[in-house]
Amino acid sequence: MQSARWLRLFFAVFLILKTVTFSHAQSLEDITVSHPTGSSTTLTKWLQEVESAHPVRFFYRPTWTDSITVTQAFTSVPLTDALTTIVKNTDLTFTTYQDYYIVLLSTAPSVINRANASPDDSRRIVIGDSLQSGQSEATVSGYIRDGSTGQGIAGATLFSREIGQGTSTNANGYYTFSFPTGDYEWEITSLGYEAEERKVRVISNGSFSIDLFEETARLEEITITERAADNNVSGAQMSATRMDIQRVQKMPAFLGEVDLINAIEMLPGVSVAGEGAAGFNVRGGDVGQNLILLDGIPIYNPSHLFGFFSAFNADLLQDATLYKGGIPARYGGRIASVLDISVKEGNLRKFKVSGGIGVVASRLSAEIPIVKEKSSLIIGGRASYSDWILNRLQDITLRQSEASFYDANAKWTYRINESHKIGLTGYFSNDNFNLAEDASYQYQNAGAAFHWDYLISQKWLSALRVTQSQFSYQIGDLQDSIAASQIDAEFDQSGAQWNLNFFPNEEHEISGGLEVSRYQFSPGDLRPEGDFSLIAPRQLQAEQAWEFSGYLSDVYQINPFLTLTAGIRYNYYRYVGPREVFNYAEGRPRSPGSVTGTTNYDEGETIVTYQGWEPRAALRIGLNTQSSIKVSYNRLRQNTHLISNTASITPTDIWKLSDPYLPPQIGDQYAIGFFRNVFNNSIETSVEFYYKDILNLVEYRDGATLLMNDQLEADLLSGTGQAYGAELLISKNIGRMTGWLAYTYSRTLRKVDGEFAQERVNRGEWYPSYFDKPHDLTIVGNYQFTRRVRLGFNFTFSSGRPITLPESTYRIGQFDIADYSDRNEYRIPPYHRLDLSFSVDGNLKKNKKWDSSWTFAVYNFYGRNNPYSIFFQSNQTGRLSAFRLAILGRPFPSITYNFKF
Amino acid sequence: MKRGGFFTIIVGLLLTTCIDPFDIGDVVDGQSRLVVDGLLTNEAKAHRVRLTYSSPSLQAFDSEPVTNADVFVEDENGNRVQFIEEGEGNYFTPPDFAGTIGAAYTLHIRTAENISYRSSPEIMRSVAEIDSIYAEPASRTYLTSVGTLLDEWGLEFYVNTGTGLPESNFYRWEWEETYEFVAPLTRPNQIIQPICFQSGRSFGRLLISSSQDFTQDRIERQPLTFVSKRTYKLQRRYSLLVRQFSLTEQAFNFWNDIEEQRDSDGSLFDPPPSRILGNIVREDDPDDAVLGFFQVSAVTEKRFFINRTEVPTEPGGPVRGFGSCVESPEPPTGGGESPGDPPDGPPEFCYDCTLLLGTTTERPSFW
Repeated sequence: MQSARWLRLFFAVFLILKTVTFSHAQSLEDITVSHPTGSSTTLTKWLQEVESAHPVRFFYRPTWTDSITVTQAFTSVPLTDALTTIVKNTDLTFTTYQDYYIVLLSTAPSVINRANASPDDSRRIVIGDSLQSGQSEATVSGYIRDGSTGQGIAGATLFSREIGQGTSTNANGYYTFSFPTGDYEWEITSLGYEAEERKVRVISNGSFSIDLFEETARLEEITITERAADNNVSGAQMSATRMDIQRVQKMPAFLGEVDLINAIEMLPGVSVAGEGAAGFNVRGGDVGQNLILLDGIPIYNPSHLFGFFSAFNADLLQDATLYKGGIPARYGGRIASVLDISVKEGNLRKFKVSGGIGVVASRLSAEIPIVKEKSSLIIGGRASYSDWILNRLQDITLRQSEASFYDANAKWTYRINESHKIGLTGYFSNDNFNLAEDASYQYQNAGAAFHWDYLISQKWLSALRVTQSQFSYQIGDLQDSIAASQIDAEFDQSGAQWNLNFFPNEEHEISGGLEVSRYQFSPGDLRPEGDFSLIAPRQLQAEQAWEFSGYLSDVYQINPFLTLTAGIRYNYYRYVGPREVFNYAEGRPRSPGSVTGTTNYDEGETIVTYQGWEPRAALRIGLNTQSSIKVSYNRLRQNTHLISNTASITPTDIWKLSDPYLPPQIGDQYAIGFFRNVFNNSIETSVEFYYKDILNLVEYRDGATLLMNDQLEADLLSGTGQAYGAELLISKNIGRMTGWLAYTYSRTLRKVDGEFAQERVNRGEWYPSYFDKPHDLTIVGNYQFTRRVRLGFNFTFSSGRPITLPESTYRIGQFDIADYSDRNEYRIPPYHRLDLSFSVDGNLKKNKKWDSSWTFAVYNFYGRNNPYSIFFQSNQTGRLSAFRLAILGRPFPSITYNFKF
Repeated sequence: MKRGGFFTIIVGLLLTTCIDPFDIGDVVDGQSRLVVDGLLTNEAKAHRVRLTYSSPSLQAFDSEPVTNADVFVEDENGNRVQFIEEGEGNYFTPPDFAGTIGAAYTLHIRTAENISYRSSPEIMRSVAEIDSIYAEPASRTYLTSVGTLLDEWGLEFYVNTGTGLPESNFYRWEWEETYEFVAPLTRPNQIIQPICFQSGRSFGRLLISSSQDFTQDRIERQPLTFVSKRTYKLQRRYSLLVRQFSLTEQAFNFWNDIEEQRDSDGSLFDPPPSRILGNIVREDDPDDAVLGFFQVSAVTEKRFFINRTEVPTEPGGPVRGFGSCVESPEPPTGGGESPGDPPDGPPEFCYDCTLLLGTTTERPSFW
């Protein structure tokens, strides 16, 4: 109702000024009006008639009144009564001033033509050329930038209360919007920055740019914007959450290390199989079904140290958006989710350093402006030093072991001019484990991306990305000298992606693009190690494939209440040689014994192709300014599969491409959500329901050998998956206490029903996936005691994950053996834990040189012994006993010092 | 491969892992299935097939024997050998029956409830001769009761075998150790110092290997057992009898599955456990799982002797044994005998070895 009130106030002022020159004999109460029966007149015409016949002046916008017809019949009825009747059931109201003026007001947000000049002209910014005045509309565009770094701010808002509309900036901080000409008081805001207001006068097309400065005291700690309906400027996107890194840094972190993946797990619909499980599950999706992009570089393993730390150094990240559903057409390749992470661009104006020293790892990063306002470099790294802890442990083997990681990030950007920007991003990480002298494991993620953004015109924006990504690991088994060996694996992906955005008018945002990827996977190279080893060297065949995709999508704002996103993507995949493909006998389960021969393919020769459409559609229906409904459907195809028979990403997991025996996984997701804000937008709530169907799910036989298996197709089975759930999110973003509560009820099931008994799991019946956790509750909060001191807490509760347990025991020779149930038939006890953190920031001076803070955190504050798994061990005489393993069974404190200058 | 080990690094890293006993009895619905444990070799003796029902709890000694079943084995020519029940659940062939290398044997069972089971035909594969058994000094690190890490030295016994041909073979070993020793101390008026003998077996240890990943069928440096110099086993003379069994690939996989199950530490890195499949099927309902395995193996054996003089004193010093008896300021670790000394002098067995359990003065026939 703000616009109406504002308008009323303006008119009141205006009319007060006018009344000094007017005096009126007749009062409004005395005016009576008529309207003949059977006739229908537009309200506009009727008002004009009344005006010409009576001492009254109406103020209204013809576009409102043109669409209303006066059909009622009345004779000599008081004017105010007549008007009341006419505007009933429309979205107009009216009010009277000075007993002479009647102002009609619309209760719907709308655009008002304001040609009248305000007396207060002097401090106005003029946009456009006054020689071109007289236009009704003008396009204004420009940049909203961070005042201290010079970088554009993505998602900043420029809002005009006068018309109740505005726009937001794109990833480069650039916006463009059509305003009716007139005077405005614009609000320019972005979370984390001090809001600015500017008085402007829009005359004709022009530009307007502004700098924003960071808030000195952050009272709003948590940013989760689900793009609720009150924000008219947002797109129709649902099921997406944008994580602001500064907010992630405020959450209590394990060992004091800020973890982006940990923060994502706190959202509804996202869960992990357990502590130490690398990867995450989104809406019942497997860990290998998430597309993780770092500035467009696909990342295969998003964690260090088996999932205790994420692979991303938060100091170098700008933000991250997780799409759980309604995935936009520009993304493809994995069926469950997209985590799009962007690396920060270096400060264009000042040299800055930041870092942190923690218990197990430390980090350091620097932002270097190379050419002021044009080019900058940001570099950073992180390294761990956990060996001093290992040396103090009880277990002998652990004392002789090592575990460490390091990673490094760099990004160079160069703004050639206002239209062209190029950049280069690089990333490298390495993890290393040695278990005494017996086993070793290392893995590396490496990638680089080149980007070129070209602002062709105010309406056209092009973005080109060329990326290269490599994931590799080496496993050494040194326990028995005659079987000492090392396995090397390497997965390479290179690609290019070109996106074009077109903004023809406010109603449409059209985008389209092409993507090409080339895969080269070397899944295993086995070599003997040491002098005694008798292992025969063996190399699994490498595989290679091409993938082409094209998409087109339009976000169409049909009216202020309805936004339709319609997108279509086409995916074409081609698996090529050189390769020797095994042929299997028909009518029998595939096994090494049923091979009938092989077919040889030359380099580049097509072995098999898979292609299909991926429609993406979403509809946003605004019910009123406080609430909306969003509906979406998407279909996605996945041609790279994570083959694993464990519940977490482990050293022995293999990435495999679709081949003649492994068709692409296809996922269909239907989602509907209700979004409502209460208490004047200080509390946002949403409920989302989803249902997913997955075809060609990859499953494995009991006892399958996945490592170094040249005939992997004989051990893999094809299944169907189904997932459904309801997610509830309530978040409070304003005030001393901020945070959110997320509850999800979800099920994820699968079925493997082959022709033969060996190709069925659990007799072909539906059974729960290993990460099926029906209940998941997370409460995250942040309480700001004073401007420098804050308390953060996370509480999480989830059902136990499914497990296969022994139903009986028997004895063979001197060994007690457990006989296991159906796969995933039982469930381990539920999981819950509370983390607390207490932070003290350094001084709050706006232009301080050295910015520091201390964080003291306790992970698992009340020491819940969460069962991670149940396992069985035989003692010396072979007797079997059950044990419950809890990973972090006691409270784990940590202290971290963070600095920035 | 010790996959679970990686996990323990991280777990240890956190210093806060808890492992405690857990009763799954309330969570799980117990089941009871037929278990077949049978071994047929090429030795002329009474071969045993043991039939039980699995116990729906973790206390396997509750296993109920299957009595009054009709059990027989048939080779590929239709020759039948009947098993006779002796003692509940144990079925034996006649004592002079020996399997033939190269023949395929199928086990048939019909229970008293008239349910029939049958194994797949198991071929008795030939077994290579044992090339050599030898011992080399080796050390193991152990944790003392005060929390320090110490190294103990001893001998690791190895076996070498194999045909040397480019083929894949599967092996299993059992061993039996026998050793001669005397008590370390003599009373002033003691005339005779008895010589004692003790034996031990490879209980609870699963020793299997295969050459399927190798360029030729050679098994070298297969460890069998570690004998510490802190025990008295090497004091005078030690003997190791090694029995080597051939396995079919399916039998090897069966034992390998058992080994994996025993190695599992319940982390998320272990593949989910599953039912260990054997080679027995219920004839009228193949979906009803039968546990256990009917093994058919050829056996060869070899004995190895080592005298005290052949045990190198370096590294690790001389054989000690009876540590608790010798008067020196050593922690009372000894040879695993009674802990702690009585305050007034060494215990009786330090003078008379026959007082130790399982000891005999009778010299074994092969000595």
